[in-house]
Order: sequence, then structure tokens, then C-alpha cells
Amino acid sequence: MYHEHPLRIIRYASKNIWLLIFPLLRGIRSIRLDFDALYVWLKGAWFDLLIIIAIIGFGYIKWYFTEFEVTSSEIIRRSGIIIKHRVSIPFKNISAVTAEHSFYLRPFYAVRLNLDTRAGAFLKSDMSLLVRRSDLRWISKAIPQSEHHSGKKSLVIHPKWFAIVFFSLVFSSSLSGVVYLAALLFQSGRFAHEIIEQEMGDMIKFANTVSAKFTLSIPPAAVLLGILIIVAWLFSFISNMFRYAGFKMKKESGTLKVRMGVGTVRQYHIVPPKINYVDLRQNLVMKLFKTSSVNISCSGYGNEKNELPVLLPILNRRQANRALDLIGFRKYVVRRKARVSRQAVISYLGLPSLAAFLIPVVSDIIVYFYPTLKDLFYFIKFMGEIPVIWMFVVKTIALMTSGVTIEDDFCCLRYSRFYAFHTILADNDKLVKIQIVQDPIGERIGRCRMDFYFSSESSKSKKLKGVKIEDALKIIEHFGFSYK
Amino acid sequence: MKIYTADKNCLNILRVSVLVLTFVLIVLCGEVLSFIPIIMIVLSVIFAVVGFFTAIVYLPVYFRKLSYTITDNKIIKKSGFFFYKTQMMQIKTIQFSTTVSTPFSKITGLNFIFLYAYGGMMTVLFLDRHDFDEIDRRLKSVYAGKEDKSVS
Repeated sequence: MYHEHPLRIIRYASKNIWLLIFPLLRGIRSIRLDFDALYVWLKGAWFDLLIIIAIIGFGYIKWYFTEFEVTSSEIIRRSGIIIKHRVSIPFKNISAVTAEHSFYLRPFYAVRLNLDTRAGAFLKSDMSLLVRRSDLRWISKAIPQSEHHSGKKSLVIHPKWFAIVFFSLVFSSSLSGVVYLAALLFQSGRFAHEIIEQEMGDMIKFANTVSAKFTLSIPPAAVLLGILIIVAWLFSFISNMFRYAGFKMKKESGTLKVRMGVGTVRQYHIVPPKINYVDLRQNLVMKLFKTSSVNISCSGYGNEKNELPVLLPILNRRQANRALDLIGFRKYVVRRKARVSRQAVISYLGLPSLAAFLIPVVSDIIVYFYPTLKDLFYFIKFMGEIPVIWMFVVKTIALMTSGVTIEDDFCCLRYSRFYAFHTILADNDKLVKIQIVQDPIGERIGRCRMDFYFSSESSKSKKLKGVKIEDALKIIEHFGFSYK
Repeated sequence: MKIYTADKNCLNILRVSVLVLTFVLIVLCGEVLSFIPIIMIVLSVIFAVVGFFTAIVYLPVYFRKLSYTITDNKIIKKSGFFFYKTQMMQIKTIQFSTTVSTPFSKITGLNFIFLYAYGGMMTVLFLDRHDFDEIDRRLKSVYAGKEDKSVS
């Protein structure tokens, strides 16, 4: 029986215990180096110190009563002081093992180890341990999925640095940047308030200066919004660069090993038979360059917030097929056999067309009633049209390229969701449900939407719109389902 | 095949706990809400009805209906009060399990097993300590790839 790394005490003590360090430091700074002053300080702060000691003491007790054990067939974690919990994960059911060497844990020789099976809570590890680096070595040897096969024949894919930069560039979004920034600032508690106050003041001044220089008389609020989006995007881009730098995928007998990141190095050990499906993901820029990133759906991989389940960052179709072959998936990107009906224009382009029409109309109506807001709403109109037109282009291409192909042992599904294009490759036995959805108009004109459900922790479906009903029936018959 | 039922000691402990909790809530209601008699009376009546219904009707029926049948390859759970529910889980689909045992669980029967399978979860509740250990042993042998025939 082994204990986790003692650093875990802090985690168990309290998530935000570190915030207590600041009043403590302030208190220490204010005292002078003589015994009387120390005595006076202790007299005033004894209760605060007692609470800190109690919090750490509670964390210590919780850590002391948390143990893990590795047997010949399973890994067991025991916890609880009064109510005893025991989690047992058999090795044969592990789908992914993740060792996270965070930069702040490395000086303490601590590693975060996450174990995942195909069951349990979505987006959460089934077992998470903070272990000593020395313990990780023998745990890795004990768990077959993370065993090192040194000397055996292995395949290593190490993308070039510019592929990682391009990948980070195209998959960075201002939304995830905002999430990062918000998480960072909110974690910092009240200090965030001061930072926001100060920085926002400076940014507003800067926005006013920029706005004054522009001949188009862009309102300061719009400039501020633009700056915020750019900052958030840059933050997302830098975070992605740090996360995916040094990406290396290694195929050994029985496991796929993925290593990535600078600062925080993450090592994943994935069991190929537990991969639900391969997802070749593209955005509009990548579609134009005929490249894609190879993602996988596997419990425990790419489940964290702002993390993509990427297996190979940037490849063209030929390279992707070759890589899939080398990895041993035996599933390839093939030509579509059942295509989306070209007449399904409304299904694909209806929403962006409506939005493109409504944005200027609503904006003009508001300007008509509130002429003082003219500058602001002209800017909003202009900015609002960009993503809508972008989506219009994406959906036009999706109309031309979406479809499904069914081979004897696997299926290849191409569809578009929001601004992304997806090509799903999966074994037929991983396709668990097909749903045909028809509205009254679709029923009249003989078209439907097909929802494909694959084996996965989440029950999200892949939606293929505008399929002719006769094609849909052929597809479900091919899978051995009967309709009507 | 073996059929496991909920521990009767556990039922009695839960019934007493519910009745004590009901009593405490009614007393608290009387103390705190004495200046609004109507709300105090209504709340006290609600607490009394819910408490007595749970202790005298719901829990005994629920415990009587609760059973787990473990065969060589599946676990069948039968439960319910108004609506009877039968859940079946194949043992081979179990990915991992969590066991929870409370202090004095040999006497109280407050032992629980959570079985996580691909696409679902089954809770095995209120087990006698002996049954709890037996199912736990069975799971261990399944994880180890060996079948424990002692419970079949």
C-alpha cells in the first residue's frame, strides 16, 4: 500500500489555501526583527495561524488516509477517514493513462497520473493520483498499457515545428482565450479586481486614442472589444503553443504514446482497440489547403477543458491515410458513396442567409430610432456580417462535400458542425445508432437528416442534413437495420 | 445464481433515523415559526406526513422489493415503489467499481457498491457486510480474469 505524493495535502486541505499566504506574507513583512515585535504579532495573529494549521492538518489527515495499491490485475485507490471509499480499476479496462508533468510539480518530483476507462463520468478521470516520480516508474511497469517496450520495433511521428505553429494558429479561438483569462483572473481572487480596474483603465485610454486617430470614427467601445478579442485570441494561441509544442506520437505494440507540451509535459498511453473513432477535423483555411488534423475519440484523451483529442496535428489526405495505415487503423478516407442532395440549399444555407439579412435590417432599425448610436451600430453590423458570411462559405462547401460511405467493415462520414468540417472513420461495430429525422417539408420533398451515434462517453450525434430518403434507407439497410 | 436482498438492520436504522429527523424538524418548526401559526402548522403536518409515510410505508416496501440476482454473467437489480424497475448489467461490461462502507457497517448494513459499465451505472445498496464482501470478492476475481464459483 502506498501513499500519494505529500503535495496532495495542499489539494486536500483546500483548493484556494494558497490565498492565505498573502495576508501571512503581509503580516510577516510588517514585523520587525526583534523578539518583542514577533511576540506582539503572534499575540494578534495566533487565531489566524491556528486556522491555517487546522486546514493543513485536515489535509494531512485526508492524505494519510488515502492510499493506492497496484495488484497483478488492478489498481486500487482507498480513501476516506470515516466513510471508506475504494475504487478498483482493472488494467484490462483502462483506455488511457495520462502522466502530467506540470512545471510547478516538477521541482517536487511529483506527477499527476490519470486513469480512464470507457465508463464513469464524462470529462472526468476515473482515477486521479498525484504520485512521486519514482512511484510512477514502477506503476508504469505494472500497468500493461503504459509499459515501456524499449528495443522493440516502434513507429514515431514527430511533426515539424511549423506544423504545430499552424495547428495552434488555426485552432486558437478567442472564446477559449477568454476562458483561460477568466480562469486565471478568478483564481487570483481579489487581486483580479485590482488588475482589471488598472488594466481596463489603461485599455480605455488606449481605445480612446485609437478611436480618435481613425477616420472611420469607430467608437471606443468597439475598439475596446476588438482589442479584447485579439488579446484573448493571442492568449489562446500561446496556450496552444505551450500545450502542443514538442508533440510526438509513438506507436508501440499494444499502445499509442503521445507526448506533448513545454512547461507542463503530458504523456498519454492510449489503447488502440479502445478508440471509438477517428475524426479528421478541418476548418475553412485547412479545407482550402487540403490539410486536416487527426483527432480520436477515446475516453481519457483530450477530455480536459480547452484540450483537443489530437493524434496527429497537420496532415494532407494522403499523409493522413498513410499515417492511419502505419498506426494500424485500417480505415481510410474514401470517396463518398451517398452524397447530400444539392437541392438541400435551405438546410445548409438557410440560417446564415437569414442572419446575413437580419443583422443589417435590425441594425438600421435601431439606428433609425436612436441616431446617436449610428457609429456603434455600423461597426456592429460590419463585424456581425463577417462570421455570418464565413459560415455561409463553410456551409456552401459542406453542401458540396458532405456525405457518407459504408464499406464492409467501416464507415466514413463527412459532415459539418458550426465552422468545422469533420470526417469520421469508425468500425461498423462502433456505430451504435442511426436516427432518421424528417420534418413535414422534408417528408414532402423526400429528404431527411441522419443522426449517427458512435460509441463514446458522450451521447452527441453527428448530424448529416439534406440526405435523400432513399439513400438514407439504403445506408441503414447496409447496417442491418430495418425501417418501417 | 445467488439472490441478495437488502439488510433488515439497515431498514430499521433508516426508519428510526427518519422518525428522529421528522421529530427534530417538527420541534424546530414550533420553535422558529411560532409567531406565524398557520405556516408552522402546515409545515409540521407536511413533515409529519412525509416522515411517517417514508418510515412506515415507503422504506419497508422499497426494501422488500429490492433484490440483486447475480448469475455467472449478469447482475439483475429489482427495485421500486410505485413503479417496479428491473436493471440488468452484464458482468463483462463492468469497467470499474467503487465500494463505500460506513463505520459500524457490520451492524448498520450501510454498504454500497457502484458498478460502472460502458454507457451506464448500477448501484448496489444496503448490503449486509457478508454479502458486500462476497460481491467484492466476485468482482476481484472477474477483474483478475478468474471466475469465483463459490457464489454461484
